[in-house]
Amino acid sequence: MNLIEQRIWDYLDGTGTLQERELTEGLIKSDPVYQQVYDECKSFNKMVSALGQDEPSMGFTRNVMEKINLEPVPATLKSLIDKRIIFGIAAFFLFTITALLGVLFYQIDWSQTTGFKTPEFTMPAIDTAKYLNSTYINIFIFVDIIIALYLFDGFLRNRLRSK
Amino acid sequence: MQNKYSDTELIKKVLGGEKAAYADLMKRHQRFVFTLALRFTKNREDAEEIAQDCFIKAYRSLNTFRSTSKFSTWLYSIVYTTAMTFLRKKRLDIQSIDTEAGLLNIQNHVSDLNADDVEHKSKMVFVNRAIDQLSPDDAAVITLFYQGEQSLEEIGQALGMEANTVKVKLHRARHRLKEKIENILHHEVKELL
Repeated sequence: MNLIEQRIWDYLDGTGTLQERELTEGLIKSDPVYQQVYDECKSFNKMVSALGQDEPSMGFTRNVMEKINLEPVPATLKSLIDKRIIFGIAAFFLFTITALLGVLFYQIDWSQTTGFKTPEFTMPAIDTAKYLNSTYINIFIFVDIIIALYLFDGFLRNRLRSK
Repeated sequence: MQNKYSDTELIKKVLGGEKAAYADLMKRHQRFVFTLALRFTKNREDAEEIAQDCFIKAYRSLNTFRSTSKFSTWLYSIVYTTAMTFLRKKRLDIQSIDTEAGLLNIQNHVSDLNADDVEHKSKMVFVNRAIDQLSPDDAAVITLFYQGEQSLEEIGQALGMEANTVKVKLHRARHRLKEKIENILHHEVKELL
């Protein structure tokens, strides 16, 4: 595509800077080659813009609506996100941070007066073996499998429905 | 009859449980969705299947539509991806389309028309035939720009491209379309002689 045509299209589409458009406008008025390409592009635009739109079959809307009526109403995102879940997550983090700070401040030796000393902080020892025994692991894996199967079932249902 | 509600208002109604409002929304956009699908498939039955699919997909994801863009732009992006998936599945040979069949499919029913109407219709048939010979991407850009009245930015959103890329694509598509129209007209004149 030559430069003249490109410039004319940019001018007709209203793209490019104001300066470029003014320059092209001046060239269309003064240069017969520009004038000819401009006329060609304009008649092309007119011809393609005049194309009508095709009409689907008469029963199109009815067919789609029949399928739509079998579908549940799409829930808005607002109703999908339960506020209680958000508050629950916020409460969890708030509790964790407060507990951590509480333990930290409790262990600080406030009687120290000579200069700054980093407080000694020792995390309370947690006996992991007490909680991570085979029964708890088995329960955890079992619940995971149930959730995975539930999600997989939902996925398969969606795939089947979209076919 | 033109519905008094805007697209956004109709969407709110649908999300509020008023399914009938979706029929109004669909009536407003179905002609263009069908036309766009037809540009990809070159076949009415397939185009109708794609258009139906698009409206059902749009309904299911209506809750994800953000009013930051036009509903039509969002809908056309669904048409584009659905049509592309369809073409990939069908493995259509887009270069070897039976233009005569395409012509029969796309032309409108012409009856009781005067000479000017007939001339206009024939011109439209040639242009339609030329668009049918373009690649689906070129045909989609031309259709979205001229018939969908979408801006370069909106076409970019629908096709998942930058506006500048769309601009270049549009220029090229126009150039190719011009060539196709000239070829068809040249061929027609030859046949008449």
